[in-house]
Amino acid sequence: MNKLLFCLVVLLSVAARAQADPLPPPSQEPDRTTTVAPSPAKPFLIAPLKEGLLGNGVRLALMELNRLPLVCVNIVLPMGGSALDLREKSGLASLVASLMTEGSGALNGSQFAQALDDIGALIHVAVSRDALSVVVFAAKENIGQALGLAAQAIRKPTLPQADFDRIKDEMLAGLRQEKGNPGSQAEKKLNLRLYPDHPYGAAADEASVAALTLADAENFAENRLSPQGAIIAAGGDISLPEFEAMAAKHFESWKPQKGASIASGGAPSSLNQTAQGIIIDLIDMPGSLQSSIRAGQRGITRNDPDYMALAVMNFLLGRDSIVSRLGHNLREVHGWTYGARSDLEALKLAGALTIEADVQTDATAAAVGEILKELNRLRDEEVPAAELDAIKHLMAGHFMQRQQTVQALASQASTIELYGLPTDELAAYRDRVMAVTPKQLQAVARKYLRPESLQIAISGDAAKVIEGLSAIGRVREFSADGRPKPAGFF
Amino acid sequence: MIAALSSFLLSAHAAQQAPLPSLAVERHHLANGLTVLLLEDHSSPIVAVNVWYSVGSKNEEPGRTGFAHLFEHYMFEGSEHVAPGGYFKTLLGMGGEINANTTNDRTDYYAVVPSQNLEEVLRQEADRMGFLNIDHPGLDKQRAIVKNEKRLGENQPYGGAWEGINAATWDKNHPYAWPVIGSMKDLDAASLEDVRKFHDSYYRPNNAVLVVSGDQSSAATLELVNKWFGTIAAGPTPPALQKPPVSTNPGRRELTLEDDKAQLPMLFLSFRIPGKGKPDWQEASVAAQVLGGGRSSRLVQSLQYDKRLVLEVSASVMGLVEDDIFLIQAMPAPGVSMKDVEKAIRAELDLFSSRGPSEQEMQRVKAGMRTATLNTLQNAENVAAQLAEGQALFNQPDAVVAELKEIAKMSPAAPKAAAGRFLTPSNTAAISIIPKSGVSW
Repeated sequence: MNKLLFCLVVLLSVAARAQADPLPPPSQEPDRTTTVAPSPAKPFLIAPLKEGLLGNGVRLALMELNRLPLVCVNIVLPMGGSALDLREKSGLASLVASLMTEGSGALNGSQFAQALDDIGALIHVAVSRDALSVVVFAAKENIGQALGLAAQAIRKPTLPQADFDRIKDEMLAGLRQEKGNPGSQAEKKLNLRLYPDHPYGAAADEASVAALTLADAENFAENRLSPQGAIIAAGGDISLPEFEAMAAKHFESWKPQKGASIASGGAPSSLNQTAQGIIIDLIDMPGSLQSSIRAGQRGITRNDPDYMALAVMNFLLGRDSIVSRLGHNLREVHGWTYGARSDLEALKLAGALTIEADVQTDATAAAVGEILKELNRLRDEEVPAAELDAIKHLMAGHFMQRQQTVQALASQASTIELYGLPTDELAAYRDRVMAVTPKQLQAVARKYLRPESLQIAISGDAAKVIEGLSAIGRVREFSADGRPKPAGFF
Repeated sequence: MIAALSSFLLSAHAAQQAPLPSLAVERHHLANGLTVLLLEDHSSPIVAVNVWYSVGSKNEEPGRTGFAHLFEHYMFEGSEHVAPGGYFKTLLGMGGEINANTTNDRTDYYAVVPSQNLEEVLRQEADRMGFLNIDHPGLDKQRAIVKNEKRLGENQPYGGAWEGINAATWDKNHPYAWPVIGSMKDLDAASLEDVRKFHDSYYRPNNAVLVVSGDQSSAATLELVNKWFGTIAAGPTPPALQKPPVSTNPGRRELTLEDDKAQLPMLFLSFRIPGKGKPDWQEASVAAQVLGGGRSSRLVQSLQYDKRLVLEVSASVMGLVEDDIFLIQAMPAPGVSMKDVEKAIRAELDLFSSRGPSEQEMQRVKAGMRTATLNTLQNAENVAAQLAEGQALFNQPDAVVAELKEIAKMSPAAPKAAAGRFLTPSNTAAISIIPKSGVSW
C-alpha cells in the first residue's frame, strides 16, 4: 500500500508536468498504409480451479483473483432446477427463487433486504433448467455475513403467505407483459417446438402460475432447496482455507430431509429430428415494425465430446451479432437488421442451437432464406482457413476478457462442477479452441445441422409476411395471445 | 429477534474495509490538444483503448436529429488506410472486442484486445480520427442499419417511453428534447456533406480523450500514441452548445401515450435536476437511492410491499451532463389508478423532503456505492471508460473514486435539501403509458 501511494505521488507530479508542456509532434508522418504486426503474445495464466468437500457431501470450487477486494459465491442447487417442476406447476422454481429472500430465520423480508444493503452486498437467486443458483456478491470483508444471509434464505426461508401472493401477482403480470413483446412470444413458441415432451420444454404460463399454492412452495423448500448434488463455487479475493471455513460454518450441518422425494417433470425424450420439413409458426402482431425471427434445432449436452467443435461452429455462424456469418450477411451486407446471432445451449439433459434476428418486415422471408443458406453452407463447404483462424482468435480473446470479474470466475467454476467437466477445462480452453480444424468443423456441421427441418417461430405483421414465408415452409398462424388462428384461414 | 439484528449491525460496522484502489493514472496532452490517459495494470495480458469524443445528440442541428449516432455507425465504414468493415474484422481477428455508443452528451469508441495488438488499435483509431472516408456508400448502409435499430427499440412494450419523457421534461428548444436515435425523417435527410461537417467540427484531437488502460507500459505507449495521433491537425474549438435556461419550477406537465405493445400501464414521474457533477446532483442521486434504489428503499417498501399499490417501482438519476432527470418509474398493481400511485409517491417524496434520510439509510447508500464502484473497476474496458468520462466532464480522470469519497462525507441534510428543491409538484412531469388494447383484469 505504501508503495502504491508512493507511485501515485510520483505519477501525479509527472502528469502535472506533462500538462504544462504538451508533447511536441513527431518530426515525420508515420507509414499508415500497412497493418502493424503484433508483438509476441504474452502468456495468459488462468487461476487454477481448487476443489474442496464438506462433510455433508457439498462440493466446493474456487478460482482466486486478488486484484480487488471482492468475492462472489454461487450456491448451486441442482434439485432446484426448473426442469424438475411438474409441467402443470411450471413457474414454481422461479416463484420460490423470489420468495426465499422475503424473510428467513429471525428476519422478515424488509430486515433481510436491509441487512444486505447495510453491508452493500447483493444476493440474486437465478433459476435455470438444471439448477437454482443463489449468487452472493460482496466486498471481501462482508462476504462472510452475506453468505450467512444466503444460507438462512436457503435453509430457513419463512415463505410468508402475503409475499407469496404478491410475487404470484407479479409473475402473472410479467407473463401478461410478455404478450406484447414480439421477441419473447416467438422464443416461447420456439422452445415448445425444440423440447416437446421434454422437461426443458415446460414454460410457466398463466394457468400453471395460477395453480401454485403456498404448500407447493413449502414442499419445494423442504425437498428441493437441498444439499443433494449441491455445489458452492467462489471467485475472487479469498483463499481456499478461508473459503472452506466459511462454507463449513454455514452449510456443513445442512442435511437433506429424510425421505425427501421429488416428482420429476417427465423423462427426457431423444433428439426430435424428424423429416417433417420446415414448419413456421407465425404469431400475428398487426402493425409490428419488424419481424422477430427465432429459429433452432436440438443439439448436444454440455459434456458431449463434440462440444468444442460445435462451440467454434457457433461462433463462426452467429455468436457475434456483427462479424459472425449471420450478422455479416443480414446486417452488414443487407442492412435488414441491427444484428443477428446464434447461441449454443448445451445443458445437462439436452441442448439446442438457436438463432435470432429482428428484421424489417419487408425482408422477413428473404432473411429466413439467408439463415437457411448459412446453415447449408456450413454443411456443404469447408470453412476457409483464414476465416476460421480469425474466429478462433475471437473466441480465445473473449475468453480472456471473461476472466476479469469475480462473478464470471464463480460462474465458470460452478459450470465445471455442475456439468462434470474436467478441472483443466479453463486452463486448456484456448488450446482446445485453436486445435479445431476446418475438416472437424464441417464434420460436426454435417453430423448435427438439419436446416431442412429447422424449427422456426416468427412474430410480426402476418398479413405482410405470410406469402413469402409460405414459399419456404408450411405456415401455422397464431394470434398475439398464442392461440391458433382458425384452420383453413389460408 | 432484536438481538439477532443488532449483532448483524455491530459486526457490519466492525468489519475492516479494504482501501479503495488508487487509479494511478498518467495524464498527457499532445500538441494538437489530444488528452491522453494511461493506466498500467499487468494482471492480465489485455489492454483497453477508449476514444471519447465530446459530442452527442445535444450537438445536433434542427432537421438532423439522430445524426451523432448515425455518424458513430459511419465511423466503422473505413478510412483512408482501413478498408470498409475493416475495424470489426481486423480487431476481431486479433481476439478483441470493439464497439461504440452514443448518448445525448458524448460518443465513446472502445476496443479490448490481447495486449500484443495495442499498436494496431492505435493506428486504426488514429486513422478514423484523421483520415475518415467521406465518399462511399457506407452512409446508406449504416442508415438502413440504424433505422432497424430504431424499429427494434420501438417495437417493444414502452418503446416510445423515452421520447415521451424527453418531450414532457424539456422545453422544445432544449437539446435533450429529442431522442438520441432521432427521427426517421431526419435520418433520411442526413448527407455526406453533414458527415464532412460533423467530422471537421467535432472529431478533432482537441475534442477527444484517449485512454489506454491495462497491460501496457505508459512510457512506450505515449510514444506510440504520439506517433499515430501526433500529426493529426487540431480543429477549431467546437461550436458552443445553444441551450435555453432551465427552470426547476416550470409548473406541472402531463403527457399520456398509447402503446400498442404494452399490456399494463406505466407511470413515469420526471423531475429536472442539475446536470451530472454540478452542485446538488450527487445529493439528488443519493436521494434516488434512498427512495427507490433497491429492495430496502422507501418506495419499494411502502408502495410495493406494504400497500401493494404497484408491481414494481424504482427511482434513479440519468447522469446527463447539461441538466439531468430524476426519474421515478412505477407500474400500478391491478385495479390501482395512476392517480393513487402518484399520490402515494408524492407522500413519500414530501416525507423525505421534510425529514430527510436516516443515518442508517445514508450508510446503506455509501456501502452500496462502494461495492458498485469496486464492481465497475474489475474490467479494463470499464476502467478506461470511467477515466475518459472523469477527464471529459470534470478534468479529473479518477472522478469515479473521488465521487465515492465525497459521498462518504455527505450528511443526511444534503439529500434532504436537494429533494426539497427539486422533487416538488411544480417540477413534475407525469408521463402515463396506457395499453392501446385497454386494461382489463
